Amino acid sequence: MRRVAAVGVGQMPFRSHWAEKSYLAMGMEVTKKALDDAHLTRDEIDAVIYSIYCEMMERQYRPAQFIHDYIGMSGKPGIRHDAAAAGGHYTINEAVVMIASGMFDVMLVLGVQKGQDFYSFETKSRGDGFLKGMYISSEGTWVQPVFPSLAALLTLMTWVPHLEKYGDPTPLQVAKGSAKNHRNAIPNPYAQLKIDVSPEDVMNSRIIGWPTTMYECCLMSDCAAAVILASEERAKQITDKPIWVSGCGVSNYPSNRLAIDDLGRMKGVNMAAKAAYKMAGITKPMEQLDVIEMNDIISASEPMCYEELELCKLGEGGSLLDAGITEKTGSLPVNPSGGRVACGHVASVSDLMSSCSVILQLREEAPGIQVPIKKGRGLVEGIDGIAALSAVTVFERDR
Amino acid sequence: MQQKKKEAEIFEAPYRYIADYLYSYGEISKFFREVKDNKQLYATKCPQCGVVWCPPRGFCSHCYVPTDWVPLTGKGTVLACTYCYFEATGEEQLPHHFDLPFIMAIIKLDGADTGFLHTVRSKEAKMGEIKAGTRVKIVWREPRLGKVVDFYFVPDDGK
Repeated sequence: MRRVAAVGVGQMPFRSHWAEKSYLAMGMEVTKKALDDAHLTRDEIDAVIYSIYCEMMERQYRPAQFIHDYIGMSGKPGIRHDAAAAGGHYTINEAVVMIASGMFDVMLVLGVQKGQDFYSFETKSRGDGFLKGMYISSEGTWVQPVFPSLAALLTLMTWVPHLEKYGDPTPLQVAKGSAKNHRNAIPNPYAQLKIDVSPEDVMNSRIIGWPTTMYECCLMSDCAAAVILASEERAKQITDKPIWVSGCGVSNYPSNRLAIDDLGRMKGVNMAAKAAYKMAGITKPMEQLDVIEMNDIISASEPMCYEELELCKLGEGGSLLDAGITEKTGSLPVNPSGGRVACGHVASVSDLMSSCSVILQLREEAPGIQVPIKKGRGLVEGIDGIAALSAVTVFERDR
Repeated sequence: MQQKKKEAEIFEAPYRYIADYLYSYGEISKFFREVKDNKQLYATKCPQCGVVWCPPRGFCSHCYVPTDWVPLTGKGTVLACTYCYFEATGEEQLPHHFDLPFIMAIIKLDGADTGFLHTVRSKEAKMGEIKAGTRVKIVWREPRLGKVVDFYFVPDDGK
């Protein structure tokens, strides 16, 4: 199997609505940035893999073929993958396999997703239109008719039973995590929401699905992001700062938590982490990583995933927030970008943003959000809205 | 100023996507026929491993064998619940809209081995009163359309 490295990234800021750009132009913008970053031309891309979550949100079925044409890749293989909010990780995983196998040498991983063209004519709100429009991606027979919101469902399936079984994370600990991520987003040039909120502000904000509050819910954004991956031979020609994909793991888990034993856990994350750690040779993640970006789709999922990533034992995730270990100034910063609650979120793109972010961190080129890099390793974790799809990717630089 | 000028040039058009379906429940049709016509909950039991599935599955996901139908009482126990102060459901034609807040719960129905996602309605219960361990019972709606919202749950007072 050939080694694979990230050689270029392209990002644009998250916004509540990119009215002045079509999804095609958003794809073009980040592709151009990624090519510029890698000093490559489009002719040097062998194939493109697309992370696109939802046709309804794009208002276009089969959007990948139209983007493929728009970014001048006609004639080359174009593959589209959907794994909801974990899609960016799944596409990176697949691109790694395709390059490692020798099928392609250089691939563009491109995530493009609009969400805020949705609109409610009744309430004249894009947010309401979005929430109403996206419920269709939940299970059709048993969940859709009683669908409250993703935040409430995830709270119900994970945080509430986790709190009951393991005693953490407490509402105050979760609020601290939300406040941390909001603070982290302020200097991030790509972040959508730049406000300083205290844990008290977080706890006193509107309840969405108790105990999850408004400031503990991910944002809803339009965005695009791109990563260029290359084989070892090509990567060394392209850049003197290749960031190797040293570990990958994905896991699909029952989406309804109908298996009673799984209530309160995100076991898929743990399985994906175990696979990625094995591949990357990680045995003590807390000591071997410099930075983590993860999906805080609700703020409670962050400390629960500290546990699933085996940074600590079950029931101890919240205490990492109390101790400030995952602050930007702590020994293992988590979500220095601001995460989904403040940097921004749209399924299939924000997870690629996390990868872009960690790649730049390891290159020590992350303006505004750079954390110290001592061990040369970073991790990206992603889940879909109800932690049914989980992925973990480990990146590392030459040491 | 530049930003404002740019925005003024944007043109937006309304669009509504409508798709009509007449969808089949296939091998679990019996569940919804019994709900609609007989106010009776059913689960499916694997003849090999004995697991009782509700929501029902026509085949056991562990043993790959066809399952058998077994009736349930409509009573159960809350395993976890959350109080929803926000609703984003899309099937507006269904008479399931609750006043906020309403309670979403994972319920272990008596006789089933799996969790069942549904709503618990209670005008009296204060936040936190319905929790893991609370006994609930089914309430049937009128009219019923053959959907999972043809029923909901309320605290079981034992009557």
